[in-house]
Amino acid sequence: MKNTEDQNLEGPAVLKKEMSRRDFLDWVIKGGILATLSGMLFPALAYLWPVMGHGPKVDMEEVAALDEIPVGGFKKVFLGGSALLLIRTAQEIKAFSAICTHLGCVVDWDGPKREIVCPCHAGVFDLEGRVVSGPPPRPLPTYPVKVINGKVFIKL
Amino acid sequence: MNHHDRSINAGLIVFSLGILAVCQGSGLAQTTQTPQVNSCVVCHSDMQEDMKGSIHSQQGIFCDRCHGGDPAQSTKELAKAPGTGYIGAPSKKQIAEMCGNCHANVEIMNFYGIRTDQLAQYKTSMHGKKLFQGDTNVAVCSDCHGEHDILPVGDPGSSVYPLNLSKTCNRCHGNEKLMSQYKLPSDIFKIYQTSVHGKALLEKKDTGAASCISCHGYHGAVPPGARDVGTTCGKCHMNEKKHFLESVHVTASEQGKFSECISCHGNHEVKPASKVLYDQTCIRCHSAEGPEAKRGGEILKMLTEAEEKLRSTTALVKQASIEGIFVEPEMASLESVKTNVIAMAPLQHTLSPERVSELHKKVISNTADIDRSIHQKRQSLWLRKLALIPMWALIIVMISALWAKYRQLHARPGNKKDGKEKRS
Repeated sequence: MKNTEDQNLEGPAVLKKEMSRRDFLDWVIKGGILATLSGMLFPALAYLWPVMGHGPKVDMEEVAALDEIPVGGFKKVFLGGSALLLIRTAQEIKAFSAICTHLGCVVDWDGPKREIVCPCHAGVFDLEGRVVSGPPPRPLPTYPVKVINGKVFIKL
Repeated sequence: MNHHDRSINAGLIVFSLGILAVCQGSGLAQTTQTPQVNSCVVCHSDMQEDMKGSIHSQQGIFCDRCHGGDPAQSTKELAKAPGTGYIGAPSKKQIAEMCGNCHANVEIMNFYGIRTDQLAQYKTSMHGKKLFQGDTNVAVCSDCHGEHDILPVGDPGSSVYPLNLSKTCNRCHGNEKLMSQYKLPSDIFKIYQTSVHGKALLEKKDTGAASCISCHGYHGAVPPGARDVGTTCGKCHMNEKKHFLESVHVTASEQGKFSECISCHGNHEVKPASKVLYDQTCIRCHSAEGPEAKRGGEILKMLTEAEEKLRSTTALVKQASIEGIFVEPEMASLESVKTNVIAMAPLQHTLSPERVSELHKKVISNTADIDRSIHQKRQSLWLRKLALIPMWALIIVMISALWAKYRQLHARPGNKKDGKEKRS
């Protein structure tokens, strides 16, 4: 009973009592620590998340969905500072550097002719990236590709 | 041995003789009849050193193929005896025909993968025509390929390896006395050395760069006529040729009044393509104040502007990257701009400001988009930097609060006492 009475007596008194300097400091510190922990939690989760959702290897990057590229079609992507050309054949997806080895123009895929062509100086490459004709001095670099669950991954 | 066995043996002998008879009539017989002993080198030992590394020596082809004689004989007299076909040093005409005996023979060359139209081509060349007219000053096979020390064309030591070929041609074409007989210049190689092709080949060792044979042909070497120059240059400069065929100069070229590429770029002295040509070459045929010069000026202005925009935008993107801004999308767009700027160079051969402006507009539009995007990202970065102010304020408040709390805890009498008690 005494406790109840004390509560009854002290309760309104506590409510009326203004927040002391000490209590204010406690709240600021608690709030600051909570904010700091919250700030640390987000990057920690963001760090873990891509590992869980990553491709066949951690050094492979997802660049396209398989449905985006029809058979005989192509897609250009830009990854890690490099322009890439993805070509889908009946059997597989091939990935080449999209930069012509002659003067650095961006190459195109000529579907009907099944050739990679450079619009600047008529360089022509085959489906293995080898020079067929024109001035390019070297083949187009190629990159390993994996298709997993309808997603296209490339290793640069 | 019964009658049946004798019949089989007789059949085999007849069959073998038949095969031998066929082989004797063919080139195959020539390769199989190669003697196993080459007694020529007993006296001509100096030649043996030359021949050791030659492609012919490696294939078991001995002296008799070109000089006649019988290298299987043990004495000089027998080796050069009448009936051995000994001819000594062959004349230039004999050299062409002798080389052709094998090199124009499909049956022999087939397995080496070597073309067999070389002699036929040679006969169409200025060299070949003059030789068979009786002029022995002209080049024949051995003048370019060597004699006893012939190496494969792909061997860097070969006189006709791409890096050596122009020097080989210059052995005759740089001879002032010899060239004066044909009223030909003898300084072509010196001029070629200073050209864009010559520097690429001789200084940068780019074996894909044009040398003498790229334009004149090799076994069928002739000077390209005025109407063939475009075709010759177009073998490598395909897009330039394609766009030139859309230009107003085609008619003049077909009439032989305008020598396609040479009229503006020159031939042996061809320099790296530069916009200076607009100022220097157009006025050779057109008035500097005329409408043609005005159209040229329009194209020149677009080319200059496009290059300048590419340069300034590239610098902007690079600077933004240094500042820590993520610029990958802009770099991707920049590749597209660069492609359009490079593609303008072949396209200018249409001499159509309308055609050139199609790419020019794309360049201007794309660079403006990139510039805008970079400016937006810079602005965004500035805003984010501003957002750091409240964060710093929060940190300062936190530090102050912690310091105050520390002071409070430290100021409690009990703490001091306890501390002293514990120490004591």
